[in-house]
Amino acid sequence: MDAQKPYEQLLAENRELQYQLAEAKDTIDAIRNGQVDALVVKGKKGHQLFTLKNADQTYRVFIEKMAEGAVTINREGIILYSNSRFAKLIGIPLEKVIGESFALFVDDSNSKEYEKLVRNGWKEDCKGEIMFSDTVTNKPIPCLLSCNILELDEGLALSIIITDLTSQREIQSQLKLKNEQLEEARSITEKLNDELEVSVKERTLELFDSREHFKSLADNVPQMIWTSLPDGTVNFRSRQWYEFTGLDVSEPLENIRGLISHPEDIEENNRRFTAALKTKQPFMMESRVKRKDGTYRWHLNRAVPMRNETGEITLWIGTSTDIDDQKREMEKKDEFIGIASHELKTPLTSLKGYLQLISGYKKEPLPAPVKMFVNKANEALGKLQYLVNDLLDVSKINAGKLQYQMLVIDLAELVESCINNARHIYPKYDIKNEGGAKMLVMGNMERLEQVMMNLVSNSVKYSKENKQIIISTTTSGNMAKVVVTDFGIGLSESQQNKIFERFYRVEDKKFMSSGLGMGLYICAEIIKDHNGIIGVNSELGKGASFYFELPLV
Amino acid sequence: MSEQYIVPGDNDDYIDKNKAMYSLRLFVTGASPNSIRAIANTKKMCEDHLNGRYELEIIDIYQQPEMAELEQLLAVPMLMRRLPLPERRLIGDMSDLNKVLTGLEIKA
Repeated sequence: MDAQKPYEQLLAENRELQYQLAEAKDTIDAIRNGQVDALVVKGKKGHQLFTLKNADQTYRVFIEKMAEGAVTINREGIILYSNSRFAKLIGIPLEKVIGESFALFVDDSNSKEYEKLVRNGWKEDCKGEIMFSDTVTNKPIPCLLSCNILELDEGLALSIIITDLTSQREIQSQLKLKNEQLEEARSITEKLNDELEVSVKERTLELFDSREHFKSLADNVPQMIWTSLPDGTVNFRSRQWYEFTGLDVSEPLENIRGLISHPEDIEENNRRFTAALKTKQPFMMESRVKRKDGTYRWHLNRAVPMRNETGEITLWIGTSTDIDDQKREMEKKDEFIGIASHELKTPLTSLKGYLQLISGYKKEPLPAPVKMFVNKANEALGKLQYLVNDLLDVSKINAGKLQYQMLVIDLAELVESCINNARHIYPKYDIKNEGGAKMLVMGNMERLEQVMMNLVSNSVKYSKENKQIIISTTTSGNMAKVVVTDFGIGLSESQQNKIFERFYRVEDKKFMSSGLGMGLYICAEIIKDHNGIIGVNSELGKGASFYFELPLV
Repeated sequence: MSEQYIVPGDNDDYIDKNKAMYSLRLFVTGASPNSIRAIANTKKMCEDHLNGRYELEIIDIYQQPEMAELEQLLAVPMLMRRLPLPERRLIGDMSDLNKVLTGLEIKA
């Protein structure tokens, strides 16, 4: 001992030595008592570690290196062991982690969940998701905690495996996003679908309404209505069909036509309807339909095609109108006309004879006024005869009794002779002849002359101001065509449609004209019987062009 | 202060020790029973006697061997008082609280 040293210093040194001694003693005691796990010795190669109690090194390394965090806590929640993975996860040096309270690293947002999980973990092995707090980024880290009770020498500990769910969450959130997008797309699709459904529903309802409307319309008009598909299959017949025919509504639609059509009409009916389907032109035909009492009644059958927006035919709509009464009336009228005209003809003939006798009377000279009267009477008689002949023709046509003697004739020549004739009759008119080349047709001279004269007299009748009439003869294809053009009052479209009907007269208050309206009807019948075509082109107020075409020989 | 030796019986010195910030470092080997005990005991001791004025670092020398190298370790578990100086070392599982308190010069 150095006596020079102050006492206090010596005391301090002594004290320090005592500590060091105690330290050394304690170390030895600890080793002896088995409180030491390992001795650390510095070898030649540097630091070396000697483990006294060989812990389960395999598992230790496994835990140290594994991708999950591994933490052991005691009852107080103090971390007794942590692997470096967990320290890295929360961004804190390992030495600051061990010994700390595990709860410290749990994100505040879910402390309660954490407490609950750990409380439960002490009772039984369990798992739960807990967010940790990343001390560096301050972001919560989603983790899966799986708690296992661990039996240690001093009692129970809780070992917790911490699995970082961040990347899984990312994938999940991406998946969720994708899912949401998918969901969105699905909901859009659904919405579209719903809209579509609604509009389909509306359309269906509209369609139903319009169908109902059509059906009720069809069922309530007095005519019989039917519809057929583009191929001619009948797919609807209105109520009136069943009332008229007495058939049951359960009768298959395809059978009905055969059951109610007159045997004589069926073939022609089919032929014409098939032709209409083919040409897509409106169909019209008169035929007999069997009533429930077994009698056949004449019906006018019409059908028109209904087209969709692309012009395709989707349906044929047909009507059948009972015209039996009219037809009988007409027949009666024709019969009456026939009889009347016949009865008129006889007195007219004798009247004509007597007038001829008067004008040829030679025994004593006739006074001039008488001669004039006789001429006037002859003129009037001529007109009367003309009308009566027309009437007779009409009744013959209707009875199908118009007789022809058909010969090959030159239509051009016939036209020319008619023109010459007309120039005599209508000297005030300028009748031009255009064309004139030979056109041989099969026909009846008198009847064709009748047609020509009728057309010319018609033109004269309706063109009192402009007195020019042009008659042309041409050939086109295998048809000979004759056109009579005037520049008179012309015809409206609706008039043009009716002009060839029986007893139709163009009404015009300014132009009072005579006639019974049979002329063009007779013309049309004659041309029809010659397998020809008759027609008119006209504009109201500008004149008309009547034409007929006959097949060339 | 680092040069100043601690003198028993010195009132100021004890007051100083009672206020001083303790920096402790515990070296352990993984989750061995001694280590676990040492951790639990040290932590409890700190909370009970150094509440609010200690810093404790626990080093698993398996996982952080480089930290062990710096400290000339002999045996583990070992509790080291780094502050206040001088450095003190205790070996064992720290189950004898009196010994630990004495060793670290903490007033019970």
